[in-house]
Amino acid sequence: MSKTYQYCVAENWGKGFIDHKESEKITFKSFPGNVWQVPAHNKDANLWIHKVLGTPKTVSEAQTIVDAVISAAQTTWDNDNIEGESTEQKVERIGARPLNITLEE
Amino acid sequence: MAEYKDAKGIKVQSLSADPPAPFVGQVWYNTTSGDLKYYGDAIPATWATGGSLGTAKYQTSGAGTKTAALNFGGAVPSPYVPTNLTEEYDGSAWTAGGTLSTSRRAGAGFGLQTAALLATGTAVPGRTNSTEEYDGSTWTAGGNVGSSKTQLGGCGIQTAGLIFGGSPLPLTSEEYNGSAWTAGGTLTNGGFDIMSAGTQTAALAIGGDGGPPDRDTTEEYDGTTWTAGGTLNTGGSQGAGAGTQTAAIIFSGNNASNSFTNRTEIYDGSTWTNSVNINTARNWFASSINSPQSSTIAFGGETSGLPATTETEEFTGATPAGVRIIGTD
Repeated sequence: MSKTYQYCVAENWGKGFIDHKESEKITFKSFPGNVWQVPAHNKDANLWIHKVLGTPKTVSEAQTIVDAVISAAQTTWDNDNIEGESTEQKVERIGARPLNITLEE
Repeated sequence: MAEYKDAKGIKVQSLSADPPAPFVGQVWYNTTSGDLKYYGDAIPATWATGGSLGTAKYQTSGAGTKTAALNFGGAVPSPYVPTNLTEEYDGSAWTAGGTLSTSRRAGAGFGLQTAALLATGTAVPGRTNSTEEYDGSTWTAGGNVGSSKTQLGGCGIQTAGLIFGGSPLPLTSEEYNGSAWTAGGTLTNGGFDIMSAGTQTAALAIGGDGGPPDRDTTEEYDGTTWTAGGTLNTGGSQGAGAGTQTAAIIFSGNNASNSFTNRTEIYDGSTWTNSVNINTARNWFASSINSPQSSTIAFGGETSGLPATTETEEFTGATPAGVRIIGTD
């Protein structure tokens, strides 16, 4: 089956990391661990990965990175407790427990 | 200077009026207006990355425009405490501004970079009823809100502001005149982590959390009464908005299932339409809420796996196909 997406790891440096011309041509989606999803078999996406010095990852490699970050965030969330605080109050204070993410092929 | 004919191999048509049915890419010189024009294709809406905040925050507040934005308050993770930090954006970079008198998170912020307002929110040890006003360098005390709340909506300017909804689920709104808050109209739905746009007399209260699932409703305010508006394509909360009551935008936040969403939706006064997705889904972030629909920014907030981000994204609305001016005599 042909892949729909490709993944890379690249650190968002801010202005110019994704410019408006690139955004016109490419659909971007970011995930934890500086993992970026862009279309597969797409010349503009390939050029963008090259521009940002992205490290290409297979979907399973990218999934491992995302899982590790999410798992660490879940542990941090689980361990952040204030005596007497209800779950509702905790969510109001620090947000909901991070959910697992499944990357698409 | 090179002639157009030398560069393109053809001459530019000289016309006394714009052609009635130009084709995409057609170039001509309008002898009446003295403009060199072309007919440009439609350009889709985009989200591009902007300069990064100095400090990552969530439940943070924003004001201003795309090239003159303001970020203030919020919570800084580890150990998740409210902050008094202010940062100013010039369209490319964030720099430090004056500090708030009361550190707080989840307050209502709006106004301009040099005339912003922050009302109520959660401080330590609890909700505060205080208002602070920014003049471009210093925060000073304004009038106290009638009832303290948090995770509320707000819009307008420093001398004509509006706050509404929030936690603990009040249906009230309050209006500010630059020195004092007075009671406004009563919401039908309300909700906390509600999204906002507009002005004191033409506001929008969008989505919000009032118990699962998050709302997909819009309420419109005319300065006196809240009435029902259009329905979101994706109900949700914890997003941010900008624009006016008849040309608004909201983006990202949580969907009705409490998962992060990348959505962007634009409003024409009656109907919400999906636009291009934001690159990094986030919630509890802020926007340059006083921007127009076609030109705004999103900054800070929680992302999946990160309690707070420094990332900024800049939205540019779609441009329809049409006549554009290249140069003028």
